[in-house]
This record gives sequence, structure tokens and C-alpha cells, in this order.
Amino acid sequence: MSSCISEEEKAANEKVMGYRPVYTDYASIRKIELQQARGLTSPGKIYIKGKYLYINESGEGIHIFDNSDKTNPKPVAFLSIPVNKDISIKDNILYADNGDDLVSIDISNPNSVKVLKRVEKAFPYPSYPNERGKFECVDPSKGYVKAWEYVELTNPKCFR
Amino acid sequence: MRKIICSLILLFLIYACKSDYVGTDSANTGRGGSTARFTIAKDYLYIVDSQSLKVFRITEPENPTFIKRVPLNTVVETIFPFEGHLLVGTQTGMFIFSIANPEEPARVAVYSHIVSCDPVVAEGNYAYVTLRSGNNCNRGLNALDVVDIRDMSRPQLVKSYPMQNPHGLGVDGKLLFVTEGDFGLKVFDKTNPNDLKLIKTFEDFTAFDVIPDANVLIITGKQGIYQYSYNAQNELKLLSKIPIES
Repeated sequence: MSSCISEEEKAANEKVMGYRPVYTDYASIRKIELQQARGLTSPGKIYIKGKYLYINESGEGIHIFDNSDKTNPKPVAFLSIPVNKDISIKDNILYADNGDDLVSIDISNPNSVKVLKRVEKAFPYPSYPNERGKFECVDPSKGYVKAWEYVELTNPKCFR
Repeated sequence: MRKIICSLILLFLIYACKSDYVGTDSANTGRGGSTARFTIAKDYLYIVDSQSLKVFRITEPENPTFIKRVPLNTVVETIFPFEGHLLVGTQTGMFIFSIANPEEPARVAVYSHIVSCDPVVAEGNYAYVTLRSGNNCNRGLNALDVVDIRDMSRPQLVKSYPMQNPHGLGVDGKLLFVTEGDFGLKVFDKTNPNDLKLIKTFEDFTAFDVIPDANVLIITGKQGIYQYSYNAQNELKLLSKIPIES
């Protein structure tokens, strides 16, 4: 039987380990909201302004702490910004990356925030994984690539 | 007479606006660690993404407007604003941009080094550039370069110091803090750039990035966010720890 499978077909069914994009739809990554303070799981970058300490939760948003008393920082809230890594603040406006968009958020009241503007496609679409190797080519029509999973792929067309 | 009064009022208004403008820069802008990719200088937000530097005008803060993309043709990692300039850490070196014209960052110099991961900070006459080996930047070198930037267009290496695995750094007064990943935190006296003196090593936690702020050091680590007070006597005292919940 096996001799009936052509070389091309064999190549088409080649199984290798590689990276597959994990998509999420834009509607869900663009949902920015204030949530109840929660614990740190995978903290990223930190930022300070005035009495507040902002701690990024990798890819999820910002923990806001009242740091008036540095011996006892008090959790205020969690600002959920999907796929966020960096922020910067001037006056009462917080700028953040949100997927491939840049957003400005009014944080005058840390108990009630408001998204003011969204600059779409401000950043490059993630078209390849950080790691080198074979990967499944991305399809932006499927949404935003939130992560990459290392799995067995069938004849992936892309590599780096 | 009315004309004079009007002129005086106008003058006053101009002056008031001007002084307000000067005050805006630092007081109303926050601060990130050395691994930041966003920074604000006056009315502009500068962002580095993987391959470029981007300029957004935030004169109307609620309405950030894209102005320009400056391609850098290398892997860009961090951005640090310093005296009318942007110090951009990339995998091939530190790029220095003048933002005298804030909408047109002009490259004035590149301090090149071997391929590595490298945040940069600066204070006074010197920039401090860390070079780290790692997954995507593996040339096996871990070092801290002290670079003379008195002339921004001619950055000169003063001295290179071996490090273990530097992820981030911060400076305040005569102290230099280097986060060494699994090797903890190192505190140097940087009074003499030709002879940095290691004052203390904290090895009991994993340290990634650091913000020194008014005698308090905020450190991000594998186990949580630590705040230490420090003083002129080089004593560090743990103030608090925000733990990581598993």
C-alpha cells in the first residue's frame, strides 16, 4: 500500500514539531475594563507615577497599587488590557499597547476608567514566533495572534 | 492705556503658559524601568517595536496621533529619554537620537557592540549599557559598558565590566543597580566610571528590572515585586514584597 503514496503526498503529510498561532478575535482583545484587584501571576514591566505603582501582568493588563505607604502597597484594581506589555502615563492619561493597537485611557479615577482613543494597527501584526524553527503561516483574517503553541504540525509552510 | 494693560495681560499669559509647559515634562509624566519600550518626552510618545521607532503626538493627550516611523533595521529592545535625546537599546548597539525637533528624531550616533540584549540608562556624563547573552541574543557575553556621552555624537567606551546575566539597571546619585536575573541584584558605587565599586550583592532573589525612586528601589523578580529603601550609607532595607500567587 505504502508504495502507492507519491513523494508529494508524503511531503504533504510530513509531521514535525513547530509553532502554531493561537488566534483570538479582535472584539475580545479590544475589551478593556476595570476589574477587581487580583494576585500577581506572571508580572512583566513596572511603572510609577505619583502615589501609584503599576505592574503589568504579562499579556493581560495592569495591576494598580496605591503605593503611598511603600511598606504596605495596597491593591486598588486590575485594569484588564488583553495582550498588553507596555504602558506610559502623562497627566491622567495612560497609553498602552493592546494587541496591535495603541489605546489612550483616562485614569483620573482609578475606580472607573475610560478608553478615549484607539489607534488601530499602530504596531506590527505578529506574523512569526520569537523562537526560530518551522511554524504555521499566520492568517490575519482569523484574528490576532495572542500566543504561539509548540505542537506537532503537518507540513508547515513557514520557517525562520 | 488699555493697549498697555492688554499687552501686559498677554505677556503674563505667555509667561504663565511657558512656565506651565516647563513644569509639565517631568512632574506629570511617570517612569518605567530600563526595559521600557514606551517613553514620553514633552508632548510626544515614543515607542520602539521590534524593528522601528515610532512617534505619536499627544498635544491633545486624549487623542494620540501617529506622526512618524523611523526604521532601525535591527532588533530594538528599549528606549530611555535623556536630555533632549532618546537612547535606544538594540541588539547591535545603542542608537542615540536627538529630539530637538520632536517630530523628526535625528540619529546622531550609534554605539555598536556585539549582538546581545541590552537595556540602557544614563545619568550625568555617562550611559550604562548592559549586554546579556540569552536565547535570541547568544554570543555568550555578559557585561556592563560605561559609555562617555558628554558629546552625544561621539559616544566613547570608558570601561567594560564583566557581569553574570544582566537584565535591567537603574541609577541614582552615586549608586548603580544591576539586576542579574537568577544571580540577584548588584549595587555599585559609580563615582569613578573607570573603577565601579561593587558594594553589595543580593543573591536571595531573582531580579529582572528595577526603578530607583527617591531612595526606594522597586525590583521585579521571579518571586514578586520588592521595594527596598537605600541611603547614602549604602544600606538596603526590605520595605515590602508583593508576592506572586501560584
